[in-house]
Amino acid sequence: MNDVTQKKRVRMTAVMLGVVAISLYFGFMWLAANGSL
Amino acid sequence: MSTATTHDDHHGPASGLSRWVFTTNHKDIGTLYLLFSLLMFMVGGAMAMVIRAELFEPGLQFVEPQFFNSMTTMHALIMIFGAVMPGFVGLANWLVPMMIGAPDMALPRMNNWSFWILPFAFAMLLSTLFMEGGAPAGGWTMYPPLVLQTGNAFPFLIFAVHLMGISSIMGAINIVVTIVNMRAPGMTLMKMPLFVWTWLITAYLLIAVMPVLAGSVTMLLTDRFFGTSFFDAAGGGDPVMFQHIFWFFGHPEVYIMILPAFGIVSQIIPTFARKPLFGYSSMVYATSSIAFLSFIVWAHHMFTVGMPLTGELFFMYATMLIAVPTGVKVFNWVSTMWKGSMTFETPMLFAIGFVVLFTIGGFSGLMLAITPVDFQYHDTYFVVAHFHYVLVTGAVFSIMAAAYYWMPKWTGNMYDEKLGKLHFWLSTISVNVLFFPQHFLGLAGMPRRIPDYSTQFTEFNQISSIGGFAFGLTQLLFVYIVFKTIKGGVKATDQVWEGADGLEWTLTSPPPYHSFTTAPDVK
Repeated sequence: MNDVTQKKRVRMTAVMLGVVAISLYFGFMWLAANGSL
Repeated sequence: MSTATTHDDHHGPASGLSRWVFTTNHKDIGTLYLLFSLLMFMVGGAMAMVIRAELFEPGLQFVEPQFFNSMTTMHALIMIFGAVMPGFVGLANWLVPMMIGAPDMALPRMNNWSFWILPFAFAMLLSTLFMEGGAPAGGWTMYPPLVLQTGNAFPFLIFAVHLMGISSIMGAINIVVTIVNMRAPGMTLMKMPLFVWTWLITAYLLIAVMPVLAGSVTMLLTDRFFGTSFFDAAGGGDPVMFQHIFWFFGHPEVYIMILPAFGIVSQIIPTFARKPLFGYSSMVYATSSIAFLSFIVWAHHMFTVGMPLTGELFFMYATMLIAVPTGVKVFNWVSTMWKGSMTFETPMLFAIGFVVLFTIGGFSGLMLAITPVDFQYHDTYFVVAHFHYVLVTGAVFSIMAAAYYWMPKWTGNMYDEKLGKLHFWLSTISVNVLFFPQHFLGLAGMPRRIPDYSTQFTEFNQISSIGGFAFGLTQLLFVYIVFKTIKGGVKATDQVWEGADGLEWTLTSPPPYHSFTTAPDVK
């Protein structure tokens, strides 16, 4: 894997995990607010 | 020639304070995390001393009941989020890049940020001790409606927890990204050292559950200040829902604090048994199974809250299932030692201490998993005894084992073996004097988080307090050993331990500031 590909993959993985974390944060509050929990 | 081409990338650390404030080096950040963890261990430990002093005799001696409750709450928050978790993150920072042959963490600037959020979070949390209304006193679990009665400290508590969560999530993302993308050529997943494996799984757990904790405390904040009724029955909410959401975070959190410990012990035992780890792949699968099961057992923390029978049964059986992969691990550690050429240096002593004493914590956990039995044990000192066996003789012992094991690599100096062994034996004896009698207190019905007790509990409480003071004093010896080793001592070899295996031992002791700038070839 060359440096550019590695950099891209690092960013992609980090952003993906960040999106998961943010979705869980708002998702749980949304479910609670909806009365779905 | 431009400055860009003359710039030397292989510089050492900056000098003075700026080295530590602006560092993006994984070794420096690891050191910062570990020192911060040690400091918080002392602060949280001082609070434990207050608790044990007050409980030495029945009646009220030293502190007001409200302050006592603040001590139990703050002790837990500081030990969990300030001592144990940063301790493991510090170890991950130091070791993961060296173990997988990477030059640094994948996101070094975010790494700096992850650490430097923590001192502010804890300064804010500790500042509540001086506020009107006192520090948070409703327990680290922050159950409403009690926690909503906290005074001015409330928003500080919530913001501090948010900051700790942000720090943990960023740290976890960094670890996953590093392990997934930065392994040296040839370092396949199933060749990774177990410490790296357990941290990879732990990091996924962190990303999955820290946002849930953040969400639950945000809802507490809006209930208190913005007129919502998430957890207020009068407004159509449900306080029990908080408990479900909190423990959906809280139980995986328990494994966040123990899986890296499993990894450490799986590194140390083979070294001093001079044998490869027995059942490497079963260790990986057992760790993954424990992580999966940790998501479906949360309600065993709230059996007494009133759940349908099927719910109680489901959570009881699911909890008991965890004993299977955990048993696999204990079996593998014992099998690794079987017929090995064992020596008992301090790291090995702490690792064996871990296996024996953590198992005691595991067994009392099985007892607590039995729903009808838990109705008797719930909120008693039996629970306190159980989780302290898991967290002190489990998580803390493993961090100490790791400190002794890798300190010669980090500093280039051997620690004082005699003092190390003294530290182990004093800790092991005192920690059992401290926590074992608490099982009996709990079985006899002494409730937790209460500053006073019935006189029938006096003797066991006195024994426990004496053990507590001895354990507390013994840790000052640990601090002395650490700083003595940092300052100097017999020079360590590169391999340090005869049986040590792994990429970190191929580096010099101490390792260069920038290691593996060229990826090593892993066979």
